[in-house]
Amino acid sequence: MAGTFDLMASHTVTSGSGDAAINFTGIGATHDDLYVLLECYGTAAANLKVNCNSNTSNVWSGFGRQFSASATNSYFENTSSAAKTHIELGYILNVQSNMTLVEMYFTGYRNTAVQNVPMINYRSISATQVVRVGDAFAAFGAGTSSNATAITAIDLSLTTGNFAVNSRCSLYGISNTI
Amino acid sequence: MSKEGYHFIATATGSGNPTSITFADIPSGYKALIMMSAVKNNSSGGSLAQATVQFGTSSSIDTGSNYYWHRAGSTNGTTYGAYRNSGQPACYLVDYAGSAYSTMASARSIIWGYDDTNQQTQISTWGGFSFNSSSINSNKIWSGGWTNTGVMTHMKIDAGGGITFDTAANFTLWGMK
Repeated sequence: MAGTFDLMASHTVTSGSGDAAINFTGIGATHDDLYVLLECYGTAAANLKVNCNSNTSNVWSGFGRQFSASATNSYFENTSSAAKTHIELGYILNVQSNMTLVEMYFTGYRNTAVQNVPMINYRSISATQVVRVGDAFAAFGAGTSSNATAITAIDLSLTTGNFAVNSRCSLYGISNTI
Repeated sequence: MSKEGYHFIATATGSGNPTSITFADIPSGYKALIMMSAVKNNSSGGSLAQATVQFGTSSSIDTGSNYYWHRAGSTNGTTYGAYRNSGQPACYLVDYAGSAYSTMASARSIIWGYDDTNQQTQISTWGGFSFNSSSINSNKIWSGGWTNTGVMTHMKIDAGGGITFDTAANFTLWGMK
């Protein structure tokens, strides 16, 4: 797959107390889309918070569906709610043996036209059932910002606690042409 | 040539109509494994089949009740509630149909924690199929895992129910760098 995925940055949590945030900054306008692969667990069970360009104004909205252990088709976030300071998606366990995997695509991240506001499409999976019965979880959805600004930074954090040691995250640039 | 992204590991097909295929000697060192599946069985019936997946730390695939899974989705137009199960002999991969229908199921799986001895091997698959002018269809999200924290090197895909894969079935395994 020549030229399709290029690793732009990666981060592995090495601190025993964990990292409060994973930030990718200085993202250049070198590709067409961005892809983030996050494999993590938390110091506490939490949801994942995503925003870009350190913009914590109420410009973010997300919409998704979640499938938890035995509940189907529940909404994870709803666009009818007020814009938020971040896009929130879940679900991050606090069990190292069963890290949650999250894939995020930021399509058209360089676009600045209103009709092409950068979008995030995500899915997160934690399949744990043995260690913590009832934590099996899958979610998918999309989010966006009302601020049509090219993405130059991606900021990941948790609603509570830190990313725990050995959690890791990679940022890739995707080119649509080779 | 990009150093990153999807790196081809192996492909397997339904040539010879096997009841299962096995990826052997899967190398360590990838952030995750990606498997693209095109699935069809050789049964003349059209009934829904379910392919399963098992793992091993060597050529010996673990057939014990050491798997758990979680799923949600729809089958034949009916939405099924999320459901979980543990102590199972395998995880599920994808629902698919027999040779009576000229359709194949398509699925993308991602497998992580497979070479990390602090983690269990986990797998998630999103996939399904639809057939024109028929109520035969399925779309599912499957996730699951293997309770073993050893380095997974072998993965077996079984057609399920003792049936065989159609010759057109195709599984391709990639490593994500």
